[in-house]
Amino acid sequence: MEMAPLFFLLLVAFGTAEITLPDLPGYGYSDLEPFMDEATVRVHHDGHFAAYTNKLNDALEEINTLSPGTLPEDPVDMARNYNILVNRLRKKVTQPLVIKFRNNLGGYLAHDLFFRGLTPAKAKPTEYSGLQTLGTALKKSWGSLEDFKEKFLDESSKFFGSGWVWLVLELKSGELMIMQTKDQDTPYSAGLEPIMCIDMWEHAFYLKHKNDKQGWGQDFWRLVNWEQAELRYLAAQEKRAEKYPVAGDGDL
Amino acid sequence: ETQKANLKQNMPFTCPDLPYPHDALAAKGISKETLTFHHDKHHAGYVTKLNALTEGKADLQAKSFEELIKSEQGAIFNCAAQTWNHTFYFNCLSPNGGGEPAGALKEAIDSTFGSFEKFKEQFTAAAVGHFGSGWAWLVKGGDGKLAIVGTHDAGCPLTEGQTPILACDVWEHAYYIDFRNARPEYVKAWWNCVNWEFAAKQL
Repeated sequence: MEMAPLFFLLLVAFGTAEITLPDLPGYGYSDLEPFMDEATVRVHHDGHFAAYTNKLNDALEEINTLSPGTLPEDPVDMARNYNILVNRLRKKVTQPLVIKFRNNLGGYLAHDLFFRGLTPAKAKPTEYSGLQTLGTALKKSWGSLEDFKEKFLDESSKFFGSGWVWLVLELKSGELMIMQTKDQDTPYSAGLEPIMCIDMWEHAFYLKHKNDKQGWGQDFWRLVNWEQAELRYLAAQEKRAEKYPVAGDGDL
Repeated sequence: ETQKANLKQNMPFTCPDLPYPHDALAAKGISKETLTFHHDKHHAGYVTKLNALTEGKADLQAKSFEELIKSEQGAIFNCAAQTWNHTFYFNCLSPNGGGEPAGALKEAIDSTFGSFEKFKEQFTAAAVGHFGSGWAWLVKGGDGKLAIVGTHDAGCPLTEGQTPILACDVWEHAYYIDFRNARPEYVKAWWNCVNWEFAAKQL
């Protein structure tokens, strides 16, 4: 028998391949020092991020058994289409399983974005190296990079509870926005594409900063990988053009 | 009652003291460092913020924490509720705590949950399983029956007309210094600190 069709049959029958925990991208546990302590990097990645990945896999296995073929393969697509997907799943899966899916899908995606959005401070020739098109857009929206930084860190410093602060591109309007999500929710399902983000769950900063959210924000800023942010911005604009094609795009 | 005296605010609002020294629970796994930050920074911080938010608002400053919890929303609710929740939580712990309840509380737990072990299992599940910031509570409902409830972020059972009997803080700041991401280990330590006398008085 031909192997390819058999493989596809098995994929459909048993769901898609497991999601693996991404390694730290291009830096080691201690490379973010002194701004992020090694102990935090270890427990954040090997403890929290790993747990979200494992529980996401558990949830997906259950869902794909109860409702084969409903979910797309890519977790980002799951998040982008979250509301539609949950609607389709409603009659086949329990509410606790939906919640498990929501929390761990979000946790996996947010942490993947977070770690990929960091880089050792020593790897950055200047504070904002890597910013090009995005830099221009930030200045247009907030007046200056310093004003953007102030607005972003103000949002994170006053954060209450657990969640994230994001710089996003709204697909429909093309506008850059600073916004919050609670717990492990990501902006995808609201038609917002993440550009960069800060984790405001206490586990992200407590060992070094305790209750000092402002201090955490200042340290975080030293580690932001603006090259990655630039790439995400360009990709988001492509996604926007794909979703909302306009004759003559005009201002960005 | 110390609890009631502590909860009755003077203008401006003040943060009640810890009912014991900062190192009182260290032998049971909740360190001096944790209690120092938890009480002196987080708990006190909510009171400071509440004073700032109610500045110039005499009608609000005349209210008790409990009244603010029932009447307010948003940032003022968060600060009032978190102040109340933390005062209650610290009173739920004691260097002489742990073991099992006796008397009327024991009877109520046995009749509601079947046994102390079953209650402990369910409460532990609620505390360990709460996603994100929040609290696990043993409460007495408006109907007089005991129940285990979880509240998210600053949520307080007073808003549901319930009487708190016990509280376990599961915000990460409550346990991260001593236990990092091992919340189940923190909850074990919490059980060893439970002040059953205080809990019994709430019934």
